[in-house]
Amino acid sequence: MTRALVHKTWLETRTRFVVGVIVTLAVCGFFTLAHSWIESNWQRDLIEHPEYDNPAWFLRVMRDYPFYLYHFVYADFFQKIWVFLAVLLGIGGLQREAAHGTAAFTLSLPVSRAKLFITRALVAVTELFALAAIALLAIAIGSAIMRLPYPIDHGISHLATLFTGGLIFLAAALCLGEFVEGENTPVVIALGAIGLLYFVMQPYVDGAPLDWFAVPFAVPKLMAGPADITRAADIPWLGFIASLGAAGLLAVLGIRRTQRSDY
Amino acid sequence: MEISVKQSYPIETDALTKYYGDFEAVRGLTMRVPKGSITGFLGQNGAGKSSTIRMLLGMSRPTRGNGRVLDFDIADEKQSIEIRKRVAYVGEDKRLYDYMTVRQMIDFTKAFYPGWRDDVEKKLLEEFRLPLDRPTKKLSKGMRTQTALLLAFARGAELLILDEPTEGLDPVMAEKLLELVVGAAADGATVFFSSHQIAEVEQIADRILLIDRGQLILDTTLESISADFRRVRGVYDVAPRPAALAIDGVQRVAVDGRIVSVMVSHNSVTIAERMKAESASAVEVLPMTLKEIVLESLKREDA
Repeated sequence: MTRALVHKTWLETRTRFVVGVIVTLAVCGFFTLAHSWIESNWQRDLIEHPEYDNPAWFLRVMRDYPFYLYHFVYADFFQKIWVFLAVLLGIGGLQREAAHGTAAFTLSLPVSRAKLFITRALVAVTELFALAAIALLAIAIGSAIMRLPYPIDHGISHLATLFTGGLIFLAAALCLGEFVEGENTPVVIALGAIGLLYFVMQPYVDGAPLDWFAVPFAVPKLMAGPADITRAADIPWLGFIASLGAAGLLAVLGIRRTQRSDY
Repeated sequence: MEISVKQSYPIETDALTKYYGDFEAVRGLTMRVPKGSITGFLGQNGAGKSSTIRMLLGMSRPTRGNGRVLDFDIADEKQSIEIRKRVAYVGEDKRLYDYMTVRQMIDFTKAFYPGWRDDVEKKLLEEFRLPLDRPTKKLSKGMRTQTALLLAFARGAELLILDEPTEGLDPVMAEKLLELVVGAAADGATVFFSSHQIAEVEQIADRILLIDRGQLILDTTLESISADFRRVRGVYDVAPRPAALAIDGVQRVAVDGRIVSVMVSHNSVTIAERMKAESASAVEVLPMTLKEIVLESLKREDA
């Protein structure tokens, strides 16, 4: 029975997962394979336009490849895509099935709603984990092709923060799917909330000191982690625990909701 | 030695009530569905049939009252799973998972039912000639219905709950479905099916439950309809006192000028005699069809 549910969830989400794989490969591939081209353009800009007021990180990204990846992949561009992918993998659930007209069939099966939710969550977490592994592989291979030395533990540490932070968005999408009716409404709400979050948090991600009121919303900063992770003490363990705790709470909320909903 | 035989009711509800916000979809519904019967659950659109079925299957929770299906409490989630192990359900909207093929739908559903009837699966596959490798989203409505029926009937269930099963089907397909229902009942299953099609209920049901605005207004058997239900009509010079017709069996009294028409569920001879005694110049007793009874009963509720 569990196997059948896992298979159903996989069939339901595989297109989104494949989209995730393609996007991950494209973005991580681009930032590794195009590094030399990007760098040469910056060098040219530096020479041709000395009047440009370059941001604080600019000079470091040119001379420090791991920092370049940190800045563009883990802390900024790929992070936003990552959050979008987490939401994409998390959407679904009985409200969406109700909009499709299949909720009655699913609910007529001898399985608890909690089990349906947990199965979906586990499949989505596995898919997100697989995407993180694919991202790591793409960065490692891309760096090797371009002969750019890259410490793999740097990638592992940052993808771990991305993964655990992504679990919050994944759980939020799973939870939203149980609260909001309709096929696409939860996605629209989730993406709107993410847009707002990043709009508010971007200055802090760019380096501004965190204001007290922004602390509960500091997930993007948490996902980026510190730029330099060279020892175990640099790993944001507290952030990991907070992310897992928040994701767990959202999942419990989603389960409670699905158990109480009428269809 | 006294032997007591307890009648078994696969479905029993007691004052079952469901509110959606302020709207009372089901109002204190008390009913029993006998084992082995084919019970037609009749009512107009929006009468509360689907709301009742959803509560029986644990899809929604009763606001008040209680219900038992196969002796399991419908409001208890764990017991509801036990119910669903033993019940096959076909909904009004026979949508299937778009991302699965017919074969995948069968394999998926089969995984939940240890008593899956491979023989029924094989028989219906041959009969319906379903394209196993075709995604369900590419099936015609008829084929989708056939797949849904296969998925329900092969579960080997003790109880079949069908919500408007013939809705949207062409007459041939509807007839096929009714044959399957009768076949399942002949194999020992109890069938409870909702419909607003009086003719199909009359065709296969042996028991009728009529619901209107969430309330049960008629609970009878087809046998009783042909044997006991009558329209007794009397022509009067002076209309009788209403109290004079308050007799056991009288369901509805309609007065149209000098003519008094009474729908009776039993006791028609006594009622006809009473009307004669109340100075009716002519009295006739006429048989009633299920359609007439249903329409008359619903009219009463509108009055």
